[in-house]
Amino acid sequence: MVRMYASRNLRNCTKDCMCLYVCPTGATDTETGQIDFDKCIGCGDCVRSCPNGAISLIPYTYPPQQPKDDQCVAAVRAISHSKALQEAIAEDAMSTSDDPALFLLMKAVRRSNRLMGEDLVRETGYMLPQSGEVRRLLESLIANPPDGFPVEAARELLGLLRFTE
Amino acid sequence: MKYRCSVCGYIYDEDKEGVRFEDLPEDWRCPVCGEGKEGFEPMEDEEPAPVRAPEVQEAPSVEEGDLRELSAAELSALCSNLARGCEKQQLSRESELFKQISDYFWSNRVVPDHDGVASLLELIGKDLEAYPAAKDVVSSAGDRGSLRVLTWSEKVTMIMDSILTRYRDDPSFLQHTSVYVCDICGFIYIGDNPPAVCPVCKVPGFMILRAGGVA
Repeated sequence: MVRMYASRNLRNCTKDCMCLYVCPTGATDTETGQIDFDKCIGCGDCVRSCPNGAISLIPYTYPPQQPKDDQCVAAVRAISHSKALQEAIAEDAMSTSDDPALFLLMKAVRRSNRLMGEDLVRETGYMLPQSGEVRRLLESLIANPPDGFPVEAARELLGLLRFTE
Repeated sequence: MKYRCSVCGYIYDEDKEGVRFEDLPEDWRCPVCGEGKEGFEPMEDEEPAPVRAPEVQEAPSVEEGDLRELSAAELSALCSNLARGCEKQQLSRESELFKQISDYFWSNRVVPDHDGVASLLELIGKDLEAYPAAKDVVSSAGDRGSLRVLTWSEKVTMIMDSILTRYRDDPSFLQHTSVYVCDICGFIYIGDNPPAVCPVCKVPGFMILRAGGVA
């Protein structure tokens, strides 16, 4: 079985405290509202006892992701490319607008295009931060960094993430 | 009799509303996406749509290295999405680092020459032409994940097209109203009472966030 740790969704937590009663290590009783991941042994007792379904288990490691077909990647990428252009145009139109209605509309269009772009790009093999695709992307950016690229951030990520491959 | 909005899928039920669809004023609009009456189609008695035989298409060949390189703006979106993914896993430091890389790529984006709303409508028109073929490609490959994102973003794009066209024709329609964006799929809602469930991705309404309002 995959090793897991419990995590509290603060939006749902109504402080019923059942997780405090059942936790064998005291990991659920903290001043931050979140569970102490270092103390948690992933037994799942808090998940089962929470009356509001506010706790779930997060795995330490993930399985390799489904491979993506090149045809599909090309089809999706043609559209994500357009969404990125539209996001940049909307932001530019927003910053040069003195009409509050247009400003607001462009703000919404910019955000909408970012969300669509994120969703499209992630479906081309970059869904899971710990995937092999992400590792290879970070490695290639470190090997050939574009001007001003934050190499240290990429290196730290390579060290922190437990990659699937 | 029921009528369905061809843009967002909202259903107008004459029995529930107590007003016949044809008696609605000509300037009546879809309460969800703002599409006009002409965008509504009468619903047949729930007859299942005829199953269309999949068209066999010669798939365009993709050569090694032929895949379009990700632009700086796309890499920014890729990294901001990974930051979100880390946040969901409670990996706060990792999330911060991906945000940092996302910001770097965004600061290197290329802003094309443009004419504001007109340029956006032009790009949107091209996207709407590209969706059907893209959906065919991913369907025949059995890639449900890609089919999902194309289905959602096509709907969001149709609604955006309808809103921008309306703004171009009558900029005053945004006065005295609020604008909301679904934080999951990007669905844009113009009005003061966003739906309880997103009509595109079906996330609960509290994820549909207010972008602001014009007094």
